[in-house]
Formats: sequence, structure tokens, C-alpha cells
Amino acid sequence: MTELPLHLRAVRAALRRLNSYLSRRYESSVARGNPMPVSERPAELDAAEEQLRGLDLPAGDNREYFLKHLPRLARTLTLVPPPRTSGRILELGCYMQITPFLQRWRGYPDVRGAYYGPPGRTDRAVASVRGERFEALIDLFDAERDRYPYDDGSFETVLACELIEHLLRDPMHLVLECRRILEDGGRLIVTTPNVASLTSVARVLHGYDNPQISSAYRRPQADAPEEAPHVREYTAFELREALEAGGFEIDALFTEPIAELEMNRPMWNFLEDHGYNSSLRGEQTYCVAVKRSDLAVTRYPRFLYSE
Amino acid sequence: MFDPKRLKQAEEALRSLPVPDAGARAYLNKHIPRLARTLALVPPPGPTGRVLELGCYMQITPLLQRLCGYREVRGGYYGEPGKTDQKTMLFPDGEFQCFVDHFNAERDPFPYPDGHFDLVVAGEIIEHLIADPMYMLLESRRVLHEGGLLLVTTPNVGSVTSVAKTLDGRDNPQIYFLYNRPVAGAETEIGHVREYTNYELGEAVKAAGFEIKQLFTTFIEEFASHLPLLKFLKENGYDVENRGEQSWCLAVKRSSLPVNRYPFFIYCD
Repeated sequence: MTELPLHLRAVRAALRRLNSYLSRRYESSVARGNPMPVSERPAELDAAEEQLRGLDLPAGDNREYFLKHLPRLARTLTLVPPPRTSGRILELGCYMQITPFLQRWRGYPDVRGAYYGPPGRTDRAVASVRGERFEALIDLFDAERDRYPYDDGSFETVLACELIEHLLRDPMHLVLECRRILEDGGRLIVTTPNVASLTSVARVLHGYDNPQISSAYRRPQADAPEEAPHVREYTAFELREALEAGGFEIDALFTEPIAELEMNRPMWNFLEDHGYNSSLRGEQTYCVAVKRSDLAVTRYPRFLYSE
Repeated sequence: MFDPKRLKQAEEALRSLPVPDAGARAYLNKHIPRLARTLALVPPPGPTGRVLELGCYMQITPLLQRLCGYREVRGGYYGEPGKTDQKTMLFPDGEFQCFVDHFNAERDPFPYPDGHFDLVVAGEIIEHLIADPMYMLLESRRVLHEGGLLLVTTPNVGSVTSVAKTLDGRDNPQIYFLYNRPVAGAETEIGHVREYTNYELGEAVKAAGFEIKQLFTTFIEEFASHLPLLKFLKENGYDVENRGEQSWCLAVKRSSLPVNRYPFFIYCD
């Protein structure tokens, strides 16, 4: 970043201090223990983290990303129900991070991956867990445009993690294709940032910073295709509405705080004190939805598409 | 901020703009308050008499000439580079003509020489970019001459409406958060990918080597029910400046100012 003249740097530093003061003063002014109740940590979560730590990743950016996101990945794994019927599970936006554990730990004999790319191609991806090789087939297609290359009802679980917020054109296509390829009673697990979180509250009250959890573009790379940033983040309520519109029944919907955004936790007290809804205010949303064939579908929910 | 006389003139001119059909008329009418303000902010022509309108919709376009006095109006529109449309609009007192060049404003070199324009207008476009918003600002800077002006308008995601929705927790804080329904055989137009707070907009424009002349917001009537929340913000010690839903930024190109290609709040490392 360009070095600013001293007086401007002083102003900026003062603004930053004011910023953190504004979002933190609730800590000091309200003598209340830990703000925002957090759902109890299930024993399974520790087990999931322990499993995930076994993933062999060379030191570098990928490993750093993986470790930073470990709490979310572990939580996601705990939401995957044990196989009951076909034993087939699909992971959309498959990064080979939680993928091996869907088989090794959650017990799915048939793990399939999907990734953005020209339809018709299938890649073979390899990962290693504590020295043990894991392989999966990854089908390439555009999750918001192409027909998914699977038969109706051919999976009992579909994962769509940190994906829906990147879609540029048609998120309901994803929801409805997931519905089609799931068996009746099958589960769709969606995770996405929560744009009504305490962090969004803190930022929007302050007025300077963007309320989205992530509002950063990737620096363009000469040869790499453009990767869309977070195009539309959802409130937890919106995520529920989108999945209900897709003919799913909500089995679980909750949010959790993200550790690096902890400084905004006191905003929970602010909401409580002023009579605003304080539920579903963590930065990370998790949803487990069940396909019910008898439920109606709304192709274009009004909060998501223009007329 | 707005000269009332120029605002009134602009509104009248927009209302009598020839449009192809009732749909276009309805869209135009809805946006007249914003478009009229945009025109009212347009500075008088400089030495070249040329203006570039990015995301040219032929709404304010003819009025940049007829009302604001620019000699040559050029349009830019999203599409394959190399193609140029000639647009004509018939007025009772004569014809308006301009060229609209197709290019991708966040990837392709703008097809103009350095320092070619007095003014670049980028109205309601930066929030739609999917890959590289600073590219657009820096190309705008390149095609402006020294002292030339950039006019950017975009929704304000730090507005009182965004505050209201975030406090409530159910609705999306963006001013506009809808996708367009896909149409078979056609490329769907992309919605708002990233909205900016008024502060972020100013910082982005400054990072591109501009000096800010005006940076402010106005309220949009359809969101007026959120206005009482301003009092709440004030009572709780929060800033109430620049809380309107519509951001405006008018900035001057200064070659002497440094450029920050990747501001930390827009790009990851």
C-alpha cells in the first residue's frame, strides 16, 4: 500500500481506533458474561477435527486455508448423516478436503465430486490421509446452468458448501438439481456465510466497511479463468427460504461465530438491548434440508429473482 | 450538491425522451430521479468536448450533448471488443447520433487513446463487475486528460436501509440483491455482485489516482420508511453522514497522485 503523509496516517489510525471502540464498547458497558449463546459443542466435533488433521497436505497456501477453515469443515462433517440406502454422496465444489472423510469416517462407500468446468469431462482426484491413498471421480459442470450428469434420486446426500454465495446467475438451479438427484428423504447440506451476522451488524452500524463477510475479489491471474467472488451472501432466513422454495423441509438451521471475527461478538448485547432479533447471528450458516417429493417448488422466489 | 435549476431541466428532458415502448418508459420513469441527478452533476465540457458513458443505455446519453453541451458523446457497453454500434435517436428538433463501442470494462483496454475525454460517466456499473473493478477505474483514468473528471454512481450498502435490514436480520443488506430470471438462449445479465459503502467508493476512486471533488449520498424514496432509524444511529453514537441509499462520486484525474492497483478492501492478497 502507498505510504500516506504522516497527518493522514494519524487520522486513519484514529478512525481505526474509533471503529474498534464503537464495536467493542458494549463489552465494557454491559456487564454480562459471554455474549451470544453458542450451541453446545458435540463430542463428535473433536472427533471430526482429529480425523481432518490426518489429511496429508504439503505446507503452503492450501494447508493454511485448510487449517483456518478446520472448524467449519469439522462441523460440516458432523452434519453428514450415516448412509442408510444407496450409500452414494455427492460433494459439489469438491476440494478434496472433507472428501476422503465422507468415505473413511462417515462410511459412504460411493463418494462423487463435482467441480466448475466444461460439462462432459470427469477428472480423477487423489488425496492422502495419514499416508493412505484416496481417489474420487470429479465431474465437471456449471452448477447453476448445466443438467447434473446423474439420474434422478441417485444420491442419498448432497453437500453444497461455500458455493451458493459464488453463483452469478441462477442459484435455484442448483437447489432444484440437488432436489432432482436426491432420493426422497435424502439430505442436502448447505453452508454459506451469514450476511446478517454480528460482524455485518457491526460493520453496517459503523457504516464504513462492507457488511458482507467476504467482499474481496481475487487478484486477476494472467492465465487462470476468472473466479467469482462472493456474489450474493444470504441471511440464515434467506437460506431457509431458498431451500424451502426448492421443495426441501428444514431439518437443522443454525449459525456459528467465526473465530477471527470474534471482536464483533459484543454486538449481540446491542441487539438484545434494543429489542432486535438476536438469533442466527453467527458468521457461518449451516443448513440440513430434507427432500420431500410432496412439497411444492417455487422456481423463482421473489426475494431472489426480479420479476 | 445539485443545482435545482439544472435538476429541473434534466427531469423535463428525461420525461420527454423518445423511448421505443411502454416497458422502456416505465423503467425510465422509475429511474428519473437518479438520472436527472446524474445529469445535474455533469460538469461543463472541457478542452476536448468529449464524454464517455460506460454502460451506455441511451437514457442520459443524448442529453449529455443536448443538455450538457458535450460535442462528442461516446458509449461503452459490455460485449466482444471490436464491435461498434451506431445509435440514433430522433428528437423533434433533429437527430442525435453516437457510437457505442463494445468491450469488457474490467478486462479489455478501452479503445481510446490516452487523455481522450473530458469526462467519464460510470453510472450503476461498478457494482456489477465480477472480476476486477479497479481495472475499470484505472482505464477511465487513462482515457481522461489531466484534470478530466470521473462521475461514478452506485448503491450505498452502508445506507440507513442496509442498517435497518441488518438489524432486523432477515433481509439482505444490499440495496439490490436479485438475480435476473434466466432466459433460454440468452446470456443472463448479472445482478449486483459487490455493493460499496460510500466510504469504500471514495477509497476505491482515490486508489485509482483521483482527487475527490464530491462524495455524498442521497435517499431513495421507496426506502423512506427506514429514515427514522437515523435518529437511532445518532442516539447510539454512530455516524449519520452518508446514509442515503444512492452514492455519488465526482473526482478529478491527477497524474501526480499515486495509484494503488489492489486496495486491500477490494482484493485478497
